[in-house]
Amino acid sequence: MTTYKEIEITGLKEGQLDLLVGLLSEAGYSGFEELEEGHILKAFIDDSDFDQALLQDLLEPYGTHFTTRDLEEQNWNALWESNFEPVVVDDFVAIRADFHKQAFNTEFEILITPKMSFGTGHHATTYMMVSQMRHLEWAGKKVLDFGTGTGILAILANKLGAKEILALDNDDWSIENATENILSNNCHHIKVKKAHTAATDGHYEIILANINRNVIIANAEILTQSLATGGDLLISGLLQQDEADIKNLFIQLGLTYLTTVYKAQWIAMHFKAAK
Amino acid sequence: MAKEISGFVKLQVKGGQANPAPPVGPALGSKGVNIMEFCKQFNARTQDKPGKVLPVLITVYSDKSFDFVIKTAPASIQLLEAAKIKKGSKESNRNKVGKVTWAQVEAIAQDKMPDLNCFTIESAMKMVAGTARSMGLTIEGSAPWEN
Repeated sequence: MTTYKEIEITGLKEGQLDLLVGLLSEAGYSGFEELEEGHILKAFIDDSDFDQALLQDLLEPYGTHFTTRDLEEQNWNALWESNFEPVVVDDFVAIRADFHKQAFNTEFEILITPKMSFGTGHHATTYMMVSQMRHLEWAGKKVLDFGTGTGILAILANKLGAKEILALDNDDWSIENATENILSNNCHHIKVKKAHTAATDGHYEIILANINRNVIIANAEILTQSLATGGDLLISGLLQQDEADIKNLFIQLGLTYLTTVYKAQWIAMHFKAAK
Repeated sequence: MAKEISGFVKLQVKGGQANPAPPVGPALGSKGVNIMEFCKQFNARTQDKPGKVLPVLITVYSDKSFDFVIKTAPASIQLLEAAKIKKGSKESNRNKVGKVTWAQVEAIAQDKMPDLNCFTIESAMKMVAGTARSMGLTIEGSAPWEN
């Protein structure tokens, strides 16, 4: 469990906030909150990187005051998670929490307790990935889910009949949360693993990756090489403005472009490896 | 009908790298906003500026939905980049730690114009120059309006 140090700096004069954000970010502070019209600045850093003497040196010339306190990592998304609406993707899938008691007339139901992980179906990218998954053949397939979050897409792949699913994420909360959700959905074909890239020693008939443009570009070659002959790649986490670049990239890597679907400003794309 | 605003949150976080850690988690989570959704949107919209600290003004509505506006990076950060130094000077007036040119000051002022209370590029440049001096940076040459 990570502990963060919150530094509250008070007594800021005109122009000092901007200045201190610059100096503190160079000193390793990763985020800031402005309060009271810029007269109070909160700065945050991992407790393990905190250096009280350096902070005092840094702030001393500016005549400000500061206090520090420890912030234990916790599920900061708990309030939203306590009463979110279920998501229904046509007559295909209903994604619900355990507090939703109503009946859904869908082919599948997925039970998600998100715990500060991404993937509840509320975001356009998850919704599009789920809806695109309907058009693929899953029975007996080997699947990679890169950036699994709550495990939602891996769980759906399992319910659709995939025989072996590897779900990767780089975030400890997601690893724990995906594991819990997989259990509560009675899925027995998914293995969850912590990883920072898509590199594995396997080949997959279907690869799912709902992350973001930079991570997809950084892993494009690995994803392409990890596709089995004739395999499908479904990707999202991309904006409409990314479409041309991503399309060209995977075509250059040897995949065939099939479709793009659009929702709000987001897209999901489908590519296929040669047979 | 316009949605009812329940509050504003002003944060400064790194482009492409927002996550539920503080300040995002505590600041938005306490207002009932889905912080994972904020992170996904913010990271996508700032993917061209990875790792650069960017101010973001988030409007939270009474139905827990949100909008946000991303501002330009603080002048101090842009000045540190321009001077190619890692840290501002502790004793800003006595110990000059780096140099920037008036052309760099002007470029930063141009970038910051939409977020500053300035009507002319000259007044924006004066504000940026003031920040530079208080950080211990020397500005080479004379200001364009002094020539």
